[in-house]
Amino acid sequence: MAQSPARAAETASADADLDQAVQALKEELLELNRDLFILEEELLAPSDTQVMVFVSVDVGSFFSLDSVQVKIDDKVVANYLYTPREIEALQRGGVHRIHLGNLKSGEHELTAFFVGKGPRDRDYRRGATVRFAKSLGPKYLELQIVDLENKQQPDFRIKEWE
Amino acid sequence: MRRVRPTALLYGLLLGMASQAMAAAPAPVRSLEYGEALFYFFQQDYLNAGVRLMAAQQRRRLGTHDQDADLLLGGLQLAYGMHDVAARTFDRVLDAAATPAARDRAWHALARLAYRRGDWQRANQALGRISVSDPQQAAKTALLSGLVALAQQQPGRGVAVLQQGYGLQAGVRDPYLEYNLAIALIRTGKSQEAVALLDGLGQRQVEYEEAATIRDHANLAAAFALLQSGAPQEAQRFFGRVRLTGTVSNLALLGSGWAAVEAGSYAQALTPWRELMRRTPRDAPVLEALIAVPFVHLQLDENARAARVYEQAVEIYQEERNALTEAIAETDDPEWLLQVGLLTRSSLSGGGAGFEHHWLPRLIASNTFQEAWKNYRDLLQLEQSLSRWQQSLNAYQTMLTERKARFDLVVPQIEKRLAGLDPNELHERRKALQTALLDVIETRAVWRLATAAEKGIQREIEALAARVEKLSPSSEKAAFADRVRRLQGLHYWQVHAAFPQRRWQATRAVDELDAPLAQMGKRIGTLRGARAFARLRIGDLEERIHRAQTRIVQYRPRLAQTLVRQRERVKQLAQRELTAQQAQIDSYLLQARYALAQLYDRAQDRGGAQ
Repeated sequence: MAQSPARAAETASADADLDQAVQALKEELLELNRDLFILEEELLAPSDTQVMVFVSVDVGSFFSLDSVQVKIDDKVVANYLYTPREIEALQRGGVHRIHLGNLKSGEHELTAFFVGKGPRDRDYRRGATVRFAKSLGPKYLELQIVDLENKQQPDFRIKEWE
Repeated sequence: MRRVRPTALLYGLLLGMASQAMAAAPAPVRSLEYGEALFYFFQQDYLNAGVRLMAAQQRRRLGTHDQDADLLLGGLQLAYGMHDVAARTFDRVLDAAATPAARDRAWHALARLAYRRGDWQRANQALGRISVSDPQQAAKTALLSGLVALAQQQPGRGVAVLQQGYGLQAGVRDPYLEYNLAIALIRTGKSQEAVALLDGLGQRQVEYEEAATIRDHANLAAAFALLQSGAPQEAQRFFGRVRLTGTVSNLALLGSGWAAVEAGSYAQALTPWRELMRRTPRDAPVLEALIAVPFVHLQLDENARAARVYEQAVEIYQEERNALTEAIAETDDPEWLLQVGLLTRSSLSGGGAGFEHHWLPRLIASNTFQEAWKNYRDLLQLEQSLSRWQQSLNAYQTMLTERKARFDLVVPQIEKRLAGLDPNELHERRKALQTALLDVIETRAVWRLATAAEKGIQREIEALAARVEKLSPSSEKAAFADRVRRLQGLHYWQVHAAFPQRRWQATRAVDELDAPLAQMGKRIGTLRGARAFARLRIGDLEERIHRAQTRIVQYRPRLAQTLVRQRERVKQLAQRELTAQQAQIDSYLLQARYALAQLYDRAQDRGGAQ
């Protein structure tokens, strides 16, 4: 049923008003969520002891990732099974934070196990280990899955970020 | 029965098609936090992407990604329905001393925003500011300019800019640009040229669903253009290429039937239209086929069969009408939106769930409804996030209280131990040790560095010597005294021989006290500092938790109120759309009943005449 022009204008104005209200609320709540996110991180992992582990995929032609397990000092700290949607996001350049935790200053060892399908669709499980020094201040480690074009194989590296 | 309406259908196709991939591609990741925001952005989780990106911005952890971050933030604000905020973000990129590439991306984003809002003038202004230095950006700009021109009913200008973009492309061609160029050509009357272009696009090998959909659209547009220009048989070839499972298959089946009718092959029209009749009567082509089939039977002088199909059509239209009446009434039910949410989730995220409520896809296809629904869903997600935060903050508050209690318990113990540790006194003791050692060295007091065992042996030798001394003089006493002297001499020699090493060891042990003494002093200082900092930190965190809790409590009524308003809007839009669908069915129903009445009248007249 068609509205009268006056009624239509009134509806359009109310819709525009609601649209503005929704936009303003979303903006403010995004900011609130940001503040809460920062607060939570500071509460759970203060910067002095903070350690973060990320997973990234570069191309990923020779390895199709299913899951990653992370051990720090021989203790399992993360086990993550990826969905196809998450894999796609990783392949497009997204980076997944798989672990946020705390470590004392000193020497530590991180071991990561990557499970998935390797070349010729074969089951593939590989590990990578790194010893690293944790000092005061946050420590970032990136688990990289990269393609070795010359060997037609995937490679798994662990990069320490400053 | 109304005659074929290829013009109306064609017009729907000629509006131009924008690619989702028109969004600016993100730059390579050089910051983990930026990459983390992308991880959520690519999953269309705009809340988490925005939160992470804004947090990284606030903590200045984006390194060289600052401008990319603003562009990404603007992009996700757009996707999150925050158009005005997105415009401000892109303006901020332009206000900053941005690189030419960043400025181009910001202008392109602003042009897209204006295009989506139907503000053609602003879209053209923004497009005019793009420097088009690299061919890929130039082709993207040409595509958007072409779409704006088509939207402004200026197909001639559309052809010019799209042809320019088409010429700039090297290697893989953008199918959206080709498709829109063909549409612009059709609208300038150059159908032959357009069909040639669409023919190539319509036969291209594709790997992805999106590309297959563009190919279907290309074949459909070519077919309707040919049908419009009086070449129905040629049009059939293109209709036949459209996938029967694609999103435009219903239109292709309907068009194929009308092409057969145009070519005078009425019987041939029945095959695609009967296929349409078997489909769920949820969109216009299926509803139209229900009266198109009996129309063909009438042309073939199959009146009885026509009457049966008209009766079947009336029945289906009536059922649909009733279903829509029920659906409109359902929108008043508070549970209804929940149901829509469950059914739309797969559709909005691109999944392929089967819909029990066949009117829903048409509802979701309406852009206005979809935007309103997405806003409602976003607000609902925000409300859920606030609830979760409220619970988490309570838990964190408890955690801090526990931490503080433990702190209050442990700190006095530490303070007591610290009080017992006086670094000055320890330094004095070290100094005394040093002096004593120097005295031992200077006076060569070897026995002061002898071991307890050695001192014990010495005492035993001295006791033996005393006992020998007390014996009556005899040759035996002399032998004993001689043995004791030899024993004494040996022991004396051993202790003196060990002295240099013992002196060195003692000197080193005293020197080694310096490092732990210095470290202890430092640790006591750090511990006292940490104790003061921890008190401050706990206090600061408690204060921030309290402020956050207050903010959440303040937002919740406003959010609840906006949710109610948005829910009402979604409901009104749904009712409006469903009512329009009902009106369309009423129109078909009227046509079917009228045709049926005419058939009965004719049959009655024939019966009366006999």
